[in-house]
Amino acid sequence: MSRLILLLIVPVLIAACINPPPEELDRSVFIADTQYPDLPAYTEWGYNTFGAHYNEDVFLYTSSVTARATKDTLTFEFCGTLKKASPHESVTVYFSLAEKHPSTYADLVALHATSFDLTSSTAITSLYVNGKRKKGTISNGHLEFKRAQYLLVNGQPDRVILSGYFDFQFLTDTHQTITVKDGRFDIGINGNNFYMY
Amino acid sequence: MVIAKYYLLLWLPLTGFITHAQTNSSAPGIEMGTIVYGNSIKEKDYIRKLSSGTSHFSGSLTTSYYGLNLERTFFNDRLGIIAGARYSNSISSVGLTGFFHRHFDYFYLRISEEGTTTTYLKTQQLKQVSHYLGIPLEVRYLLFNSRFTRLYFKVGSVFDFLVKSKNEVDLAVTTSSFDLENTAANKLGTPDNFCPSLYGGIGLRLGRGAPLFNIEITLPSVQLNSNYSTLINPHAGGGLRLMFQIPLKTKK
Repeated sequence: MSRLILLLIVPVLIAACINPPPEELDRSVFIADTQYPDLPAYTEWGYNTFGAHYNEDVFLYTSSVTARATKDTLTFEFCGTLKKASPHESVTVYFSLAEKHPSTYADLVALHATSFDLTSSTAITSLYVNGKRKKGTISNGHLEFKRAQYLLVNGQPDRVILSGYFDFQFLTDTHQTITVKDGRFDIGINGNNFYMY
Repeated sequence: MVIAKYYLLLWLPLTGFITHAQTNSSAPGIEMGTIVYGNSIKEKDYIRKLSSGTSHFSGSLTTSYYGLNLERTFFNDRLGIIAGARYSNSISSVGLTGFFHRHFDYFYLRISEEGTTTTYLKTQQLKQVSHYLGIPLEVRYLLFNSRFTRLYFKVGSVFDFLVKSKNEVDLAVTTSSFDLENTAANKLGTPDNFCPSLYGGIGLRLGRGAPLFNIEITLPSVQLNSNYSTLINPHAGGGLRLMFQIPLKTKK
């Protein structure tokens, strides 16, 4: 029995030694909201979380948000799942901002205290459910970067922290209404999740 | 100030008793001891919360003290009242513990926010060392009058005044900027100037005549000011105390 335990524990210890876990700043920290405990609280620490009410369900992060920049568009990818759906449905929301073209992640700090009307032609929202794009239009919505922080760790540049809110109403071609509200995010973007094309 | 008022109300009648009651003996003494406090970590808005890994914050608060005192005994050496002066040194710290401690042995302090630039410091431990001068005042009741070993029970309090406090921040990685370390240390703040505490104890007094040796378990010890440390909320604590006395005179 003790040999069996050793056989189980030793590989785990070796794996832990060989593959150190990611930096603490790259991990997600869920701090429950006091009003909506299923959602992360609005924070400005770079906790790598986002969440929103999605109709009657909860849309919650599964991986870190990525930012993709081209010469004329900046796109944020919010990848998560619907928590209450069984089986879980994966949902991805893309916010594409025209007229924003950062050349490095550090330029994202320019988003500080900016807000975007998601019905305008310069802020396009795309919605994917289980990998399939929902066709339709945004009837109203906004994306707000309440705070952008250029983060130094021990005096060295590390990442940009973006914190803010989002909500929108999406009318599908099949006359279905998807309401995403109470959305909030607190994400860290650096060279690991910022892509330039 | 409210604490000071209650403290005086508690002990003024006792000091009157000391001056008027008939003394059996007086014994100057030296003491030393230590108290370890149960504690919880104070919520700080400059400490970044941890991810749900295997590490968690843990704190400690320990006080060591050294003092000179004088005991007067009354009622056929059964009741002793002790007063004196005491230097104490309190060390509080906040760090991390966990199974994979080696990998998760740091956390982040937010030490500055200027415009859109924010600075974190990768930290292993926060430590606060505070030095106090205090006036202890104690009452003890001794049993078994004629024996070499006498059991006693004690209640007491000490009226501590902060002399100096120093904060230390142990960084997880070395940095050439001492300004960052100093800024972080200043963030931790300073304990209150006046920190009274109450305690009880049970001990043994060994000896007959001179000298006398006392060994005592202090339990519980309660800090009345929660800002005794700016890092830690002190709960009840316990400790060990040693006291050496030389009786001076005897009245019958």
